[in-house]
Amino acid sequence: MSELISGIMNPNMPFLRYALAAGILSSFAFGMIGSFVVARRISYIAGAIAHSVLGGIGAGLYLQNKIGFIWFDPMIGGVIAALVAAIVIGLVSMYARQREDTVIGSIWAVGMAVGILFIAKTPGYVDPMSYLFGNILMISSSDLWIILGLDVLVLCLGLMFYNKFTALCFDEEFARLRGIKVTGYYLLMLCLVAVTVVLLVMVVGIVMVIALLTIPAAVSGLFSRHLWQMMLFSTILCIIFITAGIGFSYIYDLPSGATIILFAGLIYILLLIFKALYRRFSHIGIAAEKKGAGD
Amino acid sequence: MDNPAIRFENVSFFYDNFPVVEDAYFSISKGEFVSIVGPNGGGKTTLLKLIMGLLKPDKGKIWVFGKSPDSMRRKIGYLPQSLQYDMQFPITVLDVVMMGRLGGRWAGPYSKSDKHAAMKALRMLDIGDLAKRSLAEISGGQRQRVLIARTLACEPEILLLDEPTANVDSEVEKALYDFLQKLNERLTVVMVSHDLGFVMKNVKCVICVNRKVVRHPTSEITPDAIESLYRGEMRIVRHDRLFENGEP
Repeated sequence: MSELISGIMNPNMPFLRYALAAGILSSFAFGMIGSFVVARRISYIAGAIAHSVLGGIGAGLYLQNKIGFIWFDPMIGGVIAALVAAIVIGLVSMYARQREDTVIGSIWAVGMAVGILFIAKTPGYVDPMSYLFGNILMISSSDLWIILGLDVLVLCLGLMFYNKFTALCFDEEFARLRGIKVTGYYLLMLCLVAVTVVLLVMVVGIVMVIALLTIPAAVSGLFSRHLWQMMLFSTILCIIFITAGIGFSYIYDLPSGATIILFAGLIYILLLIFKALYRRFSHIGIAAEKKGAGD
Repeated sequence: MDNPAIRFENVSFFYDNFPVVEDAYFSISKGEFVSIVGPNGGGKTTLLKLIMGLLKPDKGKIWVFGKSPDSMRRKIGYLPQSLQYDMQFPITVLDVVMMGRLGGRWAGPYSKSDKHAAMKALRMLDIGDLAKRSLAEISGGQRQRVLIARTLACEPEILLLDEPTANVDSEVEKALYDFLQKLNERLTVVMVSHDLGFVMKNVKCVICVNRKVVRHPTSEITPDAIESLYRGEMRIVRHDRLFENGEP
């Protein structure tokens, strides 16, 4: 622990501070959007968007290194690919529901294929591993500004339309009857999911996006009475998972993304067991009390 | 001239070239209590969705208060038939009823007056004390009332109910019918129902739907009329006598 603190304080290791700042900042977007995703049960859509991000990143790398667009950060490609995937999936799920899963599966795989082909044709060596499995310790100070900007965007829109998104997740037909433009708001919500997914890719990598989006929300769902409560708890949990994950990965020299996810998964399983046991024993307790009162 | 609450003129609707509603021509006046009856798949829910403008007629024209259903949608409170909600959804009773106030503002939180209207609706249904409870912890009958409260929080002028008693026990059903009668003093009520016993006793007018849509006063409903509507697939049981002490 003291090793971690001295690491954070060490002026020669800014990457640790950047990693922590990135993790804590983006946790707010993760908590809010993760709760919408879990409540509306669209984590597979988030998965497809995440994998299509690789297509955008690959295109970005190619444009940067082969064509010479130095300014084109691969993450800009990632954001564009995520938004396109979100809008395509959103329109399909609104207008051709029976084809939804096929389209989601195709976008998932095609996005990856496009990314791998671009990366293969990009001159020089690019390691796709850091995009697939993430490396929060590689975040630079300029990345931090992108993260801050996207985070603020997601939070502002999420708060402004909280009531409408909640109604959309709970009872879409009712929202439509109240004159809410359901298609438009659903697409907006998916776009916010897309932006959040890009942030997640920077923190834990494409493959583990769904885990960090849904586990904190699922854990908070065990003891939340309101959707906003679920968002608040998920945000706090995200901060804990990411901070602890970075700490462990730094001290024991482990891959950061995998450490964060494993820690989150362990806590979730422990809480599920704890809740099941608690229910069982409190149930027995009540039954015994009733029996006692009856005697 | 005063416009009727709902007016259908030669309305037909097809699902994949299969006629579900054919040549419907009727109107419902303001303040009426009308029941829609008919066999399953006969087009009752389709009729409600046409009134709300969720489905567009393939032929004919529909008016709600003399205007298009789309523009009048917010004047309609709708209680859907199925009550299948995600019980894992973290939401309280008050949160659900507040949804009735959606669309009042383009963004931002609900106002104080929205909360006030939601609480008023909850108290009308005698469940004001449940406001802070989670939707998952209350019973099926209570949940039904929560959804009715949500519909009332919309402050509708027409109430459309799709088989409101399908999932509740007879005690809740009785209370619900009494409540609807009371509401009918200021609202137009249109209810899909299978309960002909209730319909015969309390409703002055029924709309029979089996592709054809026919409006009858209840006094005209004879066993023959019901049999032709349901194509002889049902038995008619009279239960309009009151039994005392549980003895027939």
